Amino acid sequence: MDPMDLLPYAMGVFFNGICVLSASDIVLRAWRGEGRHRFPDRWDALARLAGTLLYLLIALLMTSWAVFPVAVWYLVSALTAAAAAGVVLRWPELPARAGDRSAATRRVSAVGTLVFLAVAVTALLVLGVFG
Amino acid sequence: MGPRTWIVAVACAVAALVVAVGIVVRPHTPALSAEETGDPGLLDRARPLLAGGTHDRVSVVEIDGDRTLSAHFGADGHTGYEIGSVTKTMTGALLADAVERGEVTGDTRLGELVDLDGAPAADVTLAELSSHRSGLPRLPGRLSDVAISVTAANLGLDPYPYDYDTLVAQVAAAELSGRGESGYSNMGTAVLGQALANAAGTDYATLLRDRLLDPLGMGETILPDSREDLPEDATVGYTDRGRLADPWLAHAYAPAGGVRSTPADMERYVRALLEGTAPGTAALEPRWEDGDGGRIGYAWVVEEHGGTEVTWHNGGTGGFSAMVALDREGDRAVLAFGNTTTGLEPLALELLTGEDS
Repeated sequence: MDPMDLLPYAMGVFFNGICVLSASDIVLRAWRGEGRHRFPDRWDALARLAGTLLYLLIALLMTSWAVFPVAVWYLVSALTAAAAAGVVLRWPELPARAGDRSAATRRVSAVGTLVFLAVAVTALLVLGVFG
Repeated sequence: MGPRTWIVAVACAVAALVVAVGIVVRPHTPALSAEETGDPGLLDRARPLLAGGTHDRVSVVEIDGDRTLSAHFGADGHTGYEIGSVTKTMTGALLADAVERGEVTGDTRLGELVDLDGAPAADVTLAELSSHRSGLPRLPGRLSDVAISVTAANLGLDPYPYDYDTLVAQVAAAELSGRGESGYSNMGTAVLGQALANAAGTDYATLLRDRLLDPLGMGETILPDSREDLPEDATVGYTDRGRLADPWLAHAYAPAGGVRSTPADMERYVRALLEGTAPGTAALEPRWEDGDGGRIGYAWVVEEHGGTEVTWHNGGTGGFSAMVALDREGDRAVLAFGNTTTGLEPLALELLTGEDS
């Protein structure tokens, strides 16, 4: 087998793997609710969820689905859905903004990622990529 | 309903929304159509060669002397396919035909036919352009052009949205590298086609129609310049990313890969090439080393495969693949077309030579 034939699989594992790690991290933080590995505030939860959605979009566009199992797409989508549900479930009890030094960074990260995601999705819809 | 119940309901709704969007935008990976028509023997020989790749519609045509066999999966002889770079062989034929007409010679400089204002590319010859020895890059290298190419490649869009003036500006801006050596160039064949049209005082689409397609009766072959030029039931291709591919309209790059044809029309073209009756058949003659162990004519590559001298050209667009392979000595040819990006070269070569390629 030509080693280049493995490239689509390697890329699929890479892009979808990032997605799985990111979504799993959110699910675990939502599950725990307390301790060091939790959402410090709503901006943090939003930033992580927006990032996961962006990774999901990149995985969709960059994976060679002609050879990589499409079942992985459904699994990653389901995991991202669970992450989104986890953020909603934790939302009411999270502070709007924590008082630590990283709070501003998290807010900028959340807003920046959401804006980038919105622009990217709009551009893809205009270009008819999902048509 | 209490606040907690509302939150759980909203969480479920958000999760359902994400799943729904995931289903709507899911990748589409076609499977080889089970709707088979054509010669049962050729179907049986082609089917195993299509296993393992991503296919949807596939057409295979086998020419052996006066006999023609065809095998179609989800298609028929009149299914339209983008033939991609097989178009370059038609541009090569137009060059050979123009030489026979005395309009140009293989040594005619590009700058004599296209206004390049003394740019390095003005000095290259038409023969160098047709045989990929001009030193021009494969694709335009300006930053904006690279951005368009990368975006198109990753999103399944038409990568050549350029008009004539833009093509000429790209060629004028290009640096020559390795002139005289083999270096595949879509840009080179594109500007070659435009130069031949200039020499004939017309546009490339008219030149191709008047000098090749009409004489050969290839009425189903088109060179779409816009979506309106496509038939309503135009075959849609699939990208390797699982998306529907935009049609390649090619515009000024049409001479390098803009033709849509059908198996029936391509059979006419190839049969005429084998018989030596196609305009510009001299394009088939190998004239130079291709730097990869084979030789090259005006676009056509000539290589040994399992003891058979095969004259071939393949093609690929964002959603289609094509392969045309001729055994001129044996008066045989195999043509293969599909609407996915999975290459059909191994299938065509194995059917032609009997050797696993």
